[in-house]
Amino acid sequence: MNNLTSNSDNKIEDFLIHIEKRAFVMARTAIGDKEEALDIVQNAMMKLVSNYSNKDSKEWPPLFHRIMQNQINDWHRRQKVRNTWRLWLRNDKGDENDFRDEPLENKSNEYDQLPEQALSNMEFSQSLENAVTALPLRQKQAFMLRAWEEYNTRETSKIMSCSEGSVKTHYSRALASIRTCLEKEERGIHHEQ
Amino acid sequence: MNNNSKVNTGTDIKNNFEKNARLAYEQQSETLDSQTLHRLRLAREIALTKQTRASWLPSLNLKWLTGAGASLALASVLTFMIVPNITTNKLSPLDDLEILTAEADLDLVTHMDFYQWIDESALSESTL
Repeated sequence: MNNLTSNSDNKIEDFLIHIEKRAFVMARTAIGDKEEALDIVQNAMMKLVSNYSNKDSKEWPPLFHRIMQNQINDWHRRQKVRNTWRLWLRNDKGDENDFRDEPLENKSNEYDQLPEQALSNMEFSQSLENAVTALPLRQKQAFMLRAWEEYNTRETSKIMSCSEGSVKTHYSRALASIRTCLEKEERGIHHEQ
Repeated sequence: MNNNSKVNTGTDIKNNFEKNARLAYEQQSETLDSQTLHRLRLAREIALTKQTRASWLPSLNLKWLTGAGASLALASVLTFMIVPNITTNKLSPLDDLEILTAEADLDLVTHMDFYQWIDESALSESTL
């Protein structure tokens, strides 16, 4: 019995070791704050271990991501309330851009104009992170789960607790927006040169 | 034919973009600073320690707590069943009501002087 428990502990520890770095990058990109991202990863780990360690290890990745995405959503809701109060107290409308969650209108399914040069160099990583950080939350989540973690549409919809159609829309808009952002950056580099 | 080749090209480029995005993500996660890695290791250890405590608690405490709770509930039920019976054996409220509503007894109370006079008369007759 002890051996079984020990094996199970090792298994879940291996899973956490495997996922923790990527989870942190994902949380940091979604929130934009290192300390808060670390807290969210730790809470997600604790919830997974205490509630789902007895589940089949194949179920851990989607469960972990679902827990983490819920925490990210909660964090954004709390921030929204705090910001609303802060704005109300200051009677200042300067930070209104923080609350934007409106879908972008630039819809496009053509990716043949992506700047290939940007994809291959080291700066692409930073440019991409900036572009993803600038996305509305749901688009950000859809992009990170679909493109980064390689979940399919159905799995992503379960993690995000929404319909598959919504995932497709969020993902498509995220790609279009990232493309536009990278193109702008590319044009800026060319102008500087 | 041209349309097909256009669609394929678009899809290829999209896949290529996703692949590069994934590589960039992997690159970011593999180039984290040592402080962040240390914090992540601590977070993992805390999560696993909590699991050890959580798994110990139900196995030890729940059995005892369940047994103790059941015993307490049984004791409470028995107490409420027995205590009222003890009090009813002493005096019932209905008995009080019968005494208070009995007419004879009320007459006795209201004509106390009369009964006292009879007693005194009987006593004086006996002495005579």
